[in-house]
Amino acid sequence: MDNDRMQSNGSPPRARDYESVGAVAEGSRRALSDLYVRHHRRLVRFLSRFTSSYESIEEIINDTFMVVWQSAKEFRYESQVSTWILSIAYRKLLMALRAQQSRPDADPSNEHSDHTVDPTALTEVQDWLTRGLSQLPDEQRVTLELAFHMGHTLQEIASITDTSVATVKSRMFQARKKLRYRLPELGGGDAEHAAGEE
Amino acid sequence: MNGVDPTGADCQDISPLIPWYVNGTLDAEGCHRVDTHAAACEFCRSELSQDQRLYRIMNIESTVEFMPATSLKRLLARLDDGELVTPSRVVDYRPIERRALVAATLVVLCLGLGVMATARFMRVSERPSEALYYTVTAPQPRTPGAVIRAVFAPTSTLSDVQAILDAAGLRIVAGPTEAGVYSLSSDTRHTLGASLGILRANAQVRFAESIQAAPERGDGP
Repeated sequence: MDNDRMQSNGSPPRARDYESVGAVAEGSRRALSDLYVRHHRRLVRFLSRFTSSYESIEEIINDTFMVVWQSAKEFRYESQVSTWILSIAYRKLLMALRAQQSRPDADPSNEHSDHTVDPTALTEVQDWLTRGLSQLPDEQRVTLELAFHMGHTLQEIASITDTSVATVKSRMFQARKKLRYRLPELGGGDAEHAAGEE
Repeated sequence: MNGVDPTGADCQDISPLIPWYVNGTLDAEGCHRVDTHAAACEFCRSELSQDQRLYRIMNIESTVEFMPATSLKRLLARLDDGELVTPSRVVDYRPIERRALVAATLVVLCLGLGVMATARFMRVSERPSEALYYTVTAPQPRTPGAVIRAVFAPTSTLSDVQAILDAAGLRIVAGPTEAGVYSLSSDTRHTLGASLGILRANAQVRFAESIQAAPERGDGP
Protein backbone atom coordinates (compact mmCIF):
# COMPACT_ATOMS: atom_id res chain seq x y z
CA MET A 1 0.00 0.00 0.00
CA ASP A 2 3.01 2.31 0.60
CA ASN A 3 3.71 3.84 -2.78
CA ASP A 4 7.27 4.68 -1.85
CA ARG A 5 8.01 1.04 -1.13
CA MET A 6 6.55 -0.05 -4.46
CA GLN A 7 8.76 2.40 -6.36
CA SER A 8 11.91 1.80 -4.41
CA ASN A 9 15.05 0.99 -6.41
CA GLY A 10 16.38 -1.08 -3.58
CA SER A 11 17.54 1.66 -1.21
CA PRO A 12 15.29 2.40 1.76
CA PRO A 13 12.66 4.98 0.75
CA ARG A 14 13.41 7.16 3.76
CA ALA A 15 17.11 7.33 2.87
CA ARG A 16 16.28 8.14 -0.73
CA ASP A 17 13.95 10.92 0.37
CA TYR A 18 16.56 12.37 2.71
CA GLU A 19 19.11 12.35 -0.10
CA SER A 20 16.66 14.06 -2.41
CA VAL A 21 15.79 16.79 0.08
CA GLY A 22 19.47 17.42 0.67
CA ALA A 23 20.01 17.78 -3.06
CA VAL A 24 16.98 20.06 -3.41
CA ALA A 25 18.45 22.25 -0.70
CA GLU A 26 21.53 22.54 -2.91
CA GLY A 27 19.39 23.63 -5.84
CA SER A 28 18.93 20.36 -7.72
CA ARG A 29 15.84 20.37 -9.91
CA ARG A 30 16.42 16.73 -10.78
CA ALA A 31 16.12 15.85 -7.10
CA LEU A 32 12.96 17.96 -6.84
CA SER A 33 11.53 16.09 -9.82
CA ASP A 34 12.42 12.75 -8.23
CA LEU A 35 10.63 13.75 -5.04
CA TYR A 36 7.66 14.97 -7.04
CA VAL A 37 7.26 11.73 -8.97
CA ARG A 38 7.73 9.59 -5.84
CA HIS A 39 5.11 11.46 -3.81
CA HIS A 40 2.67 12.54 -6.51
CA ARG A 41 0.38 9.54 -6.35
CA ARG A 42 0.08 9.67 -2.58
CA LEU A 43 -0.77 13.36 -2.65
CA VAL A 44 -3.37 12.84 -5.38
CA ARG A 45 -4.85 10.03 -3.30
CA PHE A 46 -5.19 12.36 -0.30
CA LEU A 47 -6.34 15.52 -2.09
CA SER A 48 -8.88 13.75 -4.31
CA ARG A 49 -10.83 13.01 -1.13
CA PHE A 50 -11.62 16.74 -0.93
CA THR A 51 -12.02 17.89 -4.51
CA SER A 52 -12.99 16.29 -7.79
CA SER A 53 -11.14 18.90 -9.85
CA TYR A 54 -7.78 17.79 -11.16
CA GLU A 55 -6.82 21.41 -11.73
CA SER A 56 -7.29 22.11 -8.03
CA ILE A 57 -5.38 18.99 -7.07
CA GLU A 58 -2.51 19.84 -9.40
CA GLU A 59 -2.41 23.42 -8.16
CA ILE A 60 -2.20 22.32 -4.52
CA ILE A 61 0.49 19.75 -5.31
CA ASN A 62 2.55 22.24 -7.29
CA ASP A 63 2.12 24.92 -4.62
CA THR A 64 3.31 22.32 -2.13
CA PHE A 65 6.44 21.55 -4.09
CA MET A 66 7.17 25.24 -4.56
CA VAL A 67 7.35 25.39 -0.77
CA VAL A 68 9.49 22.24 -0.74
CA TRP A 69 11.85 23.90 -3.22
CA GLN A 70 12.19 27.06 -1.17
CA SER A 71 12.29 25.54 2.30
CA ALA A 72 14.31 22.35 1.80
CA LYS A 73 17.22 23.94 3.68
CA GLU A 74 15.02 24.27 6.74
CA PHE A 75 13.98 20.61 6.78
CA ARG A 76 14.99 18.99 10.05
CA TYR A 77 15.78 15.35 9.53
CA GLU A 78 13.69 14.37 12.55
CA SER A 79 10.61 13.27 10.64
CA GLN A 80 9.91 11.50 7.42
CA VAL A 81 10.01 13.56 4.25
CA SER A 82 6.59 12.16 3.32
CA THR A 83 5.13 13.55 6.55
CA TRP A 84 6.77 16.92 5.93
CA ILE A 85 5.46 17.15 2.37
CA LEU A 86 1.99 16.09 3.48
CA SER A 87 2.01 18.76 6.20
CA ILE A 88 2.69 21.42 3.57
CA ALA A 89 -0.03 19.98 1.33
CA TYR A 90 -2.41 19.97 4.30
CA ARG A 91 -1.92 23.73 4.84
CA LYS A 92 -2.35 24.40 1.13
CA LEU A 93 -5.50 22.26 1.14
CA LEU A 94 -7.00 24.17 4.07
CA MET A 95 -6.29 27.47 2.32
CA ALA A 96 -7.95 26.17 -0.83
CA LEU A 97 -10.99 24.88 1.07
CA ARG A 98 -11.41 28.19 2.88
CA ALA A 99 -11.05 30.13 -0.36
CA GLN A 100 -13.70 27.91 -1.89
CA GLN A 101 -16.03 28.44 1.07
CA SER A 102 -15.69 32.19 0.69
CA ARG A 103 -17.05 31.77 -2.86
CA PRO A 104 -20.33 29.94 -2.22
CA ASP A 105 -21.24 29.97 -5.92
CA ALA A 106 -18.05 28.24 -6.96
CA ASP A 107 -18.30 24.50 -7.42
CA PRO A 108 -14.92 22.94 -8.18
CA SER A 109 -16.60 19.84 -9.60
CA ASN A 110 -18.01 22.03 -12.37
CA GLU A 111 -14.69 23.59 -13.31
CA HIS A 112 -13.93 23.06 -16.95
CA SER A 113 -11.31 20.39 -17.10
CA ASP A 114 -10.21 17.47 -19.18
CA HIS A 115 -9.00 15.79 -16.03
CA THR A 116 -11.63 15.22 -13.38
CA VAL A 117 -12.41 12.33 -11.15
CA ASP A 118 -15.13 10.43 -12.94
CA PRO A 119 -18.18 10.72 -10.64
CA THR A 120 -19.55 7.46 -11.97
CA ALA A 121 -16.42 5.76 -10.65
CA LEU A 122 -17.62 6.43 -7.11
CA THR A 123 -19.80 3.73 -5.69
CA GLU A 124 -23.13 4.57 -4.19
CA VAL A 125 -21.86 3.87 -0.72
CA GLN A 126 -18.83 6.12 -1.20
CA ASP A 127 -21.14 8.89 -2.35
CA TRP A 128 -23.30 8.40 0.72
CA LEU A 129 -20.29 8.57 3.00
CA THR A 130 -18.79 11.54 1.16
CA ARG A 131 -21.97 13.50 1.81
CA GLY A 132 -21.66 12.72 5.50
CA LEU A 133 -17.96 13.59 5.61
CA SER A 134 -18.55 16.89 3.83
CA GLN A 135 -20.60 18.07 6.81
CA LEU A 136 -17.67 17.75 9.18
CA PRO A 137 -15.41 20.73 9.95
CA ASP A 138 -12.32 20.62 7.74
CA GLU A 139 -9.86 19.77 10.51
CA GLN A 140 -12.00 16.88 11.76
CA ARG A 141 -12.48 15.48 8.29
CA VAL A 142 -8.76 15.74 7.50
CA THR A 143 -7.95 13.90 10.73
CA LEU A 144 -10.30 11.08 9.76
CA GLU A 145 -8.93 10.90 6.21
CA LEU A 146 -5.31 10.90 7.37
CA ALA A 147 -6.07 8.08 9.81
CA PHE A 148 -8.44 5.87 7.84
CA HIS A 149 -7.63 6.59 4.21
CA MET A 150 -3.93 7.38 4.43
CA GLY A 151 -3.10 5.09 7.37
CA HIS A 152 -1.12 7.53 9.50
CA THR A 153 -0.43 7.14 13.20
CA LEU A 154 -1.70 9.52 15.87
CA GLN A 155 1.75 11.11 16.21
CA GLU A 156 2.18 11.50 12.43
CA ILE A 157 -1.17 13.27 12.14
CA ALA A 158 -0.18 15.61 14.96
CA SER A 159 3.00 16.39 13.05
CA ILE A 160 1.23 16.83 9.70
CA THR A 161 -1.43 19.12 11.15
CA ASP A 162 1.02 20.91 13.45
CA THR A 163 -1.06 20.24 16.54
CA SER A 164 -0.79 18.19 19.69
CA VAL A 165 -1.66 14.53 20.07
CA ALA A 166 -4.45 15.59 22.42
CA THR A 167 -5.95 17.82 19.73
CA VAL A 168 -5.86 15.01 17.18
CA LYS A 169 -7.59 12.68 19.66
CA SER A 170 -10.24 15.31 20.28
CA ARG A 171 -10.84 15.90 16.57
CA MET A 172 -11.07 12.16 15.95
CA PHE A 173 -13.55 11.76 18.80
CA GLN A 174 -15.72 14.61 17.52
CA ALA A 175 -15.58 13.38 13.91
CA ARG A 176 -16.62 9.84 14.80
CA LYS A 177 -19.36 11.09 17.08
CA LYS A 178 -20.81 13.39 14.42
CA LEU A 179 -20.68 10.73 11.74
CA ARG A 180 -22.50 8.24 13.96
CA TYR A 181 -25.18 10.90 14.50
CA ARG A 182 -25.47 11.95 10.85
CA LEU A 183 -25.04 8.49 9.35
CA PRO A 184 -26.80 6.20 11.80
CA GLU A 185 -26.76 3.47 9.16
CA LEU A 186 -23.05 3.11 9.89
CA GLY A 187 -24.05 1.40 13.07
CA GLY A 188 -25.86 -1.62 11.72
CA GLY A 189 -27.02 -3.82 8.89
CA ASP A 190 -29.17 -0.96 7.61
CA ALA A 191 -25.96 0.67 6.39
CA GLU A 192 -25.59 -1.90 3.64
CA HIS A 193 -29.24 -1.52 2.61
CA ALA A 194 -29.29 2.26 2.82
CA ALA A 195 -26.14 2.73 0.79
CA GLY A 196 -26.46 -0.15 -1.61
CA GLU A 197 -23.28 -1.75 -0.34
CA GLU A 198 -22.86 -5.43 -1.27
CA MET B 1 -21.56 -3.74 29.12
CA ASN B 2 -22.65 -7.31 28.88
CA GLY B 3 -19.70 -8.73 30.73
CA VAL B 4 -16.87 -7.45 32.86
CA ASP B 5 -13.51 -6.53 31.34
CA PRO B 6 -11.05 -8.70 33.26
CA THR B 7 -8.40 -5.98 32.95
CA GLY B 8 -10.74 -3.45 34.59
CA ALA B 9 -10.43 -1.09 31.62
CA ASP B 10 -13.13 1.50 31.21
CA CYS B 11 -14.86 2.38 27.92
CA GLN B 12 -13.38 5.87 28.21
CA ASP B 13 -9.90 4.30 28.16
CA ILE B 14 -10.59 2.01 25.22
CA SER B 15 -12.75 4.13 22.91
CA PRO B 16 -9.90 6.54 21.97
CA LEU B 17 -7.76 3.55 20.95
CA ILE B 18 -10.29 2.09 18.53
CA PRO B 19 -9.52 4.24 15.43
CA TRP B 20 -5.82 3.32 15.67
CA TYR B 21 -6.70 -0.34 16.20
CA VAL B 22 -8.80 -0.19 13.04
CA ASN B 23 -6.16 1.51 10.88
CA GLY B 24 -3.49 -0.93 12.04
CA THR B 25 -1.18 1.53 13.78
CA LEU B 26 -1.92 0.64 17.41
CA ASP B 27 0.85 -1.24 19.21
CA ALA B 28 0.47 -4.83 20.34
CA GLU B 29 -0.31 -3.94 23.93
CA GLY B 30 -3.04 -1.52 22.86
CA CYS B 31 -4.50 -4.08 20.48
CA HIS B 32 -4.64 -6.62 23.28
CA ARG B 33 -6.47 -4.15 25.53
CA VAL B 34 -9.02 -3.40 22.80
CA ASP B 35 -9.55 -7.10 22.02
CA THR B 36 -10.01 -7.99 25.68
CA HIS B 37 -12.35 -5.13 26.46
CA ALA B 38 -14.45 -5.47 23.27
CA ALA B 39 -15.01 -9.14 24.06
CA ALA B 40 -16.76 -8.07 27.25
CA CYS B 41 -18.36 -4.76 26.24
CA GLU B 42 -21.18 -4.52 23.73
CA PHE B 43 -20.92 -0.72 23.44
CA CYS B 44 -17.25 -0.80 22.48
CA ARG B 45 -17.84 -3.78 20.22
CA SER B 46 -20.43 -1.69 18.40
CA GLU B 47 -18.03 1.27 18.12
CA LEU B 48 -15.36 -1.03 16.78
CA SER B 49 -17.74 -2.46 14.21
CA GLN B 50 -18.79 1.02 13.05
CA ASP B 51 -15.21 2.19 12.67
CA GLN B 52 -14.28 -0.94 10.77
CA ARG B 53 -17.19 -0.34 8.39
CA LEU B 54 -16.17 3.30 7.97
CA TYR B 55 -12.56 2.25 7.31
CA ARG B 56 -13.64 -0.29 4.73
CA ILE B 57 -15.77 2.22 2.81
CA MET B 58 -13.13 4.95 2.94
CA ASN B 59 -10.64 2.58 1.36
CA ILE B 60 -12.65 1.56 -1.67
CA GLU B 61 -10.08 2.59 -4.23
CA SER B 62 -10.87 5.00 -7.01
CA THR B 63 -10.04 3.66 -10.46
CA VAL B 64 -8.73 7.02 -11.63
CA GLU B 65 -5.04 7.80 -11.52
CA PHE B 66 -3.08 10.78 -12.77
CA MET B 67 0.33 10.73 -14.39
CA PRO B 68 2.72 13.26 -12.88
CA ALA B 69 4.73 14.19 -15.98
CA THR B 70 2.53 17.03 -17.25
CA SER B 71 2.05 18.54 -13.80
CA LEU B 72 5.77 18.34 -13.16
CA LYS B 73 6.48 20.31 -16.31
CA ARG B 74 4.18 23.06 -15.10
CA LEU B 75 5.95 23.14 -11.76
CA LEU B 76 9.34 23.42 -13.41
CA ALA B 77 7.99 26.19 -15.63
CA ARG B 78 7.01 28.10 -12.49
CA LEU B 79 10.56 27.75 -11.25
CA ASP B 80 11.78 29.07 -14.59
CA ASP B 81 9.59 32.12 -14.08
CA GLY B 82 11.35 32.78 -10.78
CA GLU B 83 8.10 32.60 -8.87
CA LEU B 84 8.37 33.28 -5.14
CA VAL B 85 6.29 31.34 -2.69
CA THR B 86 3.71 33.34 -0.74
CA PRO B 87 3.82 32.62 2.98
CA SER B 88 1.71 29.60 3.80
CA ARG B 89 0.95 30.81 7.27
CA VAL B 90 -1.41 33.70 7.96
CA VAL B 91 0.38 36.58 9.63
CA ASP B 92 -1.34 39.24 11.70
CA TYR B 93 -0.28 42.68 10.52
CA ARG B 94 -0.64 45.52 12.98
CA PRO B 95 -1.58 48.91 11.53
CA ILE B 96 1.51 50.97 10.66
CA GLU B 97 2.02 54.46 9.37
CA ARG B 98 1.60 55.01 5.65
CA ARG B 99 5.18 56.21 5.09
CA ALA B 100 6.63 53.22 6.91
CA LEU B 101 4.41 50.94 4.81
CA VAL B 102 5.65 52.50 1.56
CA ALA B 103 9.27 52.20 2.72
CA ALA B 104 8.80 48.57 3.72
CA THR B 105 7.18 47.78 0.36
CA LEU B 106 10.12 49.32 -1.50
CA VAL B 107 12.60 47.25 0.54
CA VAL B 108 10.69 44.03 -0.20
CA LEU B 109 10.55 44.86 -3.91
CA CYS B 110 14.30 45.48 -4.03
CA LEU B 111 14.99 42.26 -2.20
CA GLY B 112 12.70 40.37 -4.55
CA LEU B 113 14.47 41.77 -7.61
CA GLY B 114 17.78 40.78 -6.09
CA VAL B 115 16.61 37.22 -5.47
CA MET B 116 15.32 36.91 -9.03
CA ALA B 117 18.60 38.19 -10.45
CA THR B 118 20.53 35.73 -8.30
CA ALA B 119 18.30 32.86 -9.33
CA ARG B 120 18.83 33.73 -12.98
CA PHE B 121 22.61 33.86 -12.45
CA MET B 122 22.56 30.49 -10.70
CA ARG B 123 20.57 28.94 -13.54
CA VAL B 124 23.13 30.18 -16.06
CA SER B 125 26.02 28.78 -14.05
CA GLU B 126 24.29 25.45 -13.38
CA ARG B 127 26.28 22.44 -14.50
CA PRO B 128 25.14 20.94 -17.79
CA SER B 129 24.50 17.65 -16.02
CA GLU B 130 21.63 19.39 -14.15
CA ALA B 131 19.86 19.95 -17.48
CA LEU B 132 16.23 20.82 -16.94
CA TYR B 133 14.94 18.71 -19.78
CA TYR B 134 16.34 15.97 -21.86
CA THR B 135 14.95 14.32 -24.95
CA VAL B 136 13.58 10.82 -24.97
CA THR B 137 16.52 9.62 -27.01
CA ALA B 138 19.12 11.16 -24.75
CA PRO B 139 21.39 8.54 -23.23
CA GLN B 140 20.14 7.28 -19.90
CA PRO B 141 21.48 4.60 -17.63
CA ARG B 142 20.25 1.22 -18.91
CA THR B 143 17.84 -0.53 -16.58
CA PRO B 144 18.57 -4.27 -16.46
CA GLY B 145 16.03 -6.18 -18.51
CA ALA B 146 14.57 -3.10 -20.20
CA VAL B 147 14.01 -3.57 -23.95
CA ILE B 148 11.60 -0.77 -24.86
CA ARG B 149 11.16 2.90 -23.93
CA ALA B 150 7.68 4.37 -24.17
CA VAL B 151 5.75 7.53 -23.42
CA PHE B 152 2.01 7.47 -22.80
CA ALA B 153 -0.56 10.21 -23.33
CA PRO B 154 -0.90 12.46 -20.25
CA THR B 155 -4.59 11.59 -20.03
CA SER B 156 -3.85 7.88 -19.71
CA THR B 157 -4.88 6.31 -16.45
CA LEU B 158 -2.82 3.58 -14.81
CA SER B 159 -5.56 1.12 -15.75
CA ASP B 160 -5.21 2.15 -19.41
CA VAL B 161 -1.44 1.77 -19.26
CA GLN B 162 -1.69 -1.63 -17.58
CA ALA B 163 -4.12 -2.88 -20.23
CA ILE B 164 -1.81 -1.72 -23.02
CA LEU B 165 1.19 -3.37 -21.38
CA ASP B 166 -0.71 -6.62 -20.80
CA ALA B 167 -1.69 -6.76 -24.46
CA ALA B 168 1.90 -6.14 -25.56
CA GLY B 169 3.44 -8.60 -23.10
CA LEU B 170 5.42 -5.87 -21.35
CA ARG B 171 5.87 -4.56 -17.84
CA ILE B 172 7.36 -1.44 -16.29
CA VAL B 173 10.82 -1.81 -14.79
CA ALA B 174 11.67 1.91 -14.41
CA GLY B 175 10.17 5.35 -14.77
CA PRO B 176 8.54 7.59 -15.34
CA THR B 177 11.40 10.01 -15.86
CA GLU B 178 10.99 13.78 -15.90
CA ALA B 179 10.03 13.47 -19.57
CA GLY B 180 7.46 10.77 -18.79
CA VAL B 181 9.53 7.93 -20.23
CA TYR B 182 8.97 4.39 -18.99
CA SER B 183 11.46 1.54 -19.41
CA LEU B 184 9.73 -1.74 -20.21
CA SER B 185 10.79 -5.36 -20.10
CA SER B 186 9.23 -8.21 -22.06
CA ASP B 187 7.60 -11.38 -20.77
CA THR B 188 8.62 -13.01 -24.11
CA ARG B 189 5.04 -13.79 -25.14
CA HIS B 190 5.66 -11.60 -28.18
CA THR B 191 8.72 -10.76 -30.21
CA LEU B 192 10.19 -7.32 -29.66
CA GLY B 193 8.83 -6.18 -33.00
CA ALA B 194 5.34 -7.45 -32.20
CA SER B 195 5.33 -5.69 -28.82
CA LEU B 196 6.43 -2.46 -30.45
CA GLY B 197 3.73 -2.84 -33.08
CA ILE B 198 1.04 -3.31 -30.42
CA LEU B 199 2.25 -0.20 -28.58
CA ARG B 200 2.46 1.95 -31.69
CA ALA B 201 -1.01 0.89 -32.80
CA ASN B 202 -2.51 2.30 -29.60
CA ALA B 203 -3.48 5.98 -29.71
CA GLN B 204 -2.53 6.42 -26.06
CA VAL B 205 1.09 5.56 -26.76
CA ARG B 206 2.83 8.74 -27.84
CA PHE B 207 6.20 7.16 -28.41
CA ALA B 208 7.78 3.70 -28.34
CA GLU B 209 11.26 2.63 -29.34
CA SER B 210 13.44 -0.37 -28.88
CA ILE B 211 16.29 0.30 -26.48
CA GLN B 212 18.36 -2.38 -28.12
CA ALA B 213 17.95 -0.61 -31.50
CA ALA B 214 19.11 2.76 -30.11
CA PRO B 215 22.69 3.49 -31.08
CA GLU B 216 25.21 3.58 -28.27
CA ARG B 217 26.21 7.12 -27.40
CA GLY B 218 28.80 8.66 -25.19
CA ASP B 219 28.12 10.65 -22.07
CA GLY B 220 24.95 12.68 -22.03
CA PRO B 221 24.65 16.44 -22.07
